[in-house]
Amino acid sequence: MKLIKKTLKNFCILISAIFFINVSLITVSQALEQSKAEELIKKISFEVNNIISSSRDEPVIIGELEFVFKKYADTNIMALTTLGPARRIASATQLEFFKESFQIYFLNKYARRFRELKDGEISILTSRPIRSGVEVKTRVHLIDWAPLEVLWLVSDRSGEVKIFNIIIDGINLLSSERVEIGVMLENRNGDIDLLSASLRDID
Amino acid sequence: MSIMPKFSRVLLTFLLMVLVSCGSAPINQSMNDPAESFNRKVHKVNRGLDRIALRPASKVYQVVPKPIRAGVSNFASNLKNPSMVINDLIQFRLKDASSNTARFVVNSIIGVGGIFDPASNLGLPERYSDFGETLHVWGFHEGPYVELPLFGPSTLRNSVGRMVDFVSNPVRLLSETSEQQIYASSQTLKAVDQRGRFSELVDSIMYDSEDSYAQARLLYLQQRREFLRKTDNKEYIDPYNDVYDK
Repeated sequence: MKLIKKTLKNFCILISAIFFINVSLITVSQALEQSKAEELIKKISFEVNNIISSSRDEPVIIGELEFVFKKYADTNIMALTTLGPARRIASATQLEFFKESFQIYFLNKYARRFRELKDGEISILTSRPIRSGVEVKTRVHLIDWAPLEVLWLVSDRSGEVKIFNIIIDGINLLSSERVEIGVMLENRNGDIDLLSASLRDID
Repeated sequence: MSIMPKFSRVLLTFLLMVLVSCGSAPINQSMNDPAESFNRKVHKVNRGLDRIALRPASKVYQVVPKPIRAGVSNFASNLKNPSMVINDLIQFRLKDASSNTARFVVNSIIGVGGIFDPASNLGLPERYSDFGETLHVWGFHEGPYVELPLFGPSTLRNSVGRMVDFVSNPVRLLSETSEQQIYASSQTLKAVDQRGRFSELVDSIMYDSEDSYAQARLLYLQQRREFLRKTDNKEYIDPYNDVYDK
């Protein structure tokens, strides 16, 4: 009887130890990620702030913004998720071509959005863990206008710490691009190559 | 309120408490658009109106110096404030009601009739509310999506809210015809100013997108639901799970 009790006790200790280690490991890795994610957004904000407050020519500024987002955004995953189920029937070369085209389209479209925030200043508020990464909440202060809330979703699942979605004042970038790319694909009768070519063509 | 007999005042308060305590309606995740084909026709008309009227007008209006445009827009916003206070009250959001009241007093007096906005710098930013939100707080569901002529994207609940806000706006009710015209013009100019301010964004939705109707619907519903949710902890689609884990 005593032996059973002792074994049971040891077993309980073992289980709780495993549980404790696990929990602390998880929290440690999350805490680490959160600070890493904030660091990334700090870096991006710093670079974007510098670029949009400079008085260089418009095309130069947009080119520089594109460079920042190329460096720090995981456009691969953004491309694949916006393509939707069509990615399963596409060949590897088709997917490669689409990913490249999506990157061109994405940089072109959203670098301009950030150009519009001129005279603005991005500051970091808070962050919290979400599935696959961390949400970093920032505020963009604008002269004469109410401040904008910009949420950055960050993950390291690509192997590097990168952003995979931006939510500006409630507008979710990936959701709108899913709709847009979906419609474009439908308008081209599901032809992925045609879709890729059009994405490169958009001004 | 003093004209109202005491009994009806008690009854009204009781009714409001019942409505608010019933709890807010759930926030939809999906799209509910049974009148899509009709909405698309309205959208086409709205796009045409934007192309021939609103967009060119906003380009012209941008010529007016920024401080003047900001003054007009501030003035227009200030006149909407009392209506927001009423909505805050009947939603039992007393903090918002007092903040908006203080804002109205400060901006009307120190801000010279609302032309300037000193309240925002004093930590009293506008806490937006409307009757569409009140209906949500009272438990009415969102209803189908509708695109309204001139006003653009909306839902059934919000369209009702718009009408109620319009007919019950105390500023409009308490002013004479000439003052009502000033009110209407300032609201229009504010809309024109906003169209100009967000010109690239609106243009990209209205004219660059291959389905501007679907984009406008999505953006509207996302923003509106986000506003009603008023909480920070939401879950997003996880693209990594979507692409790799299935």
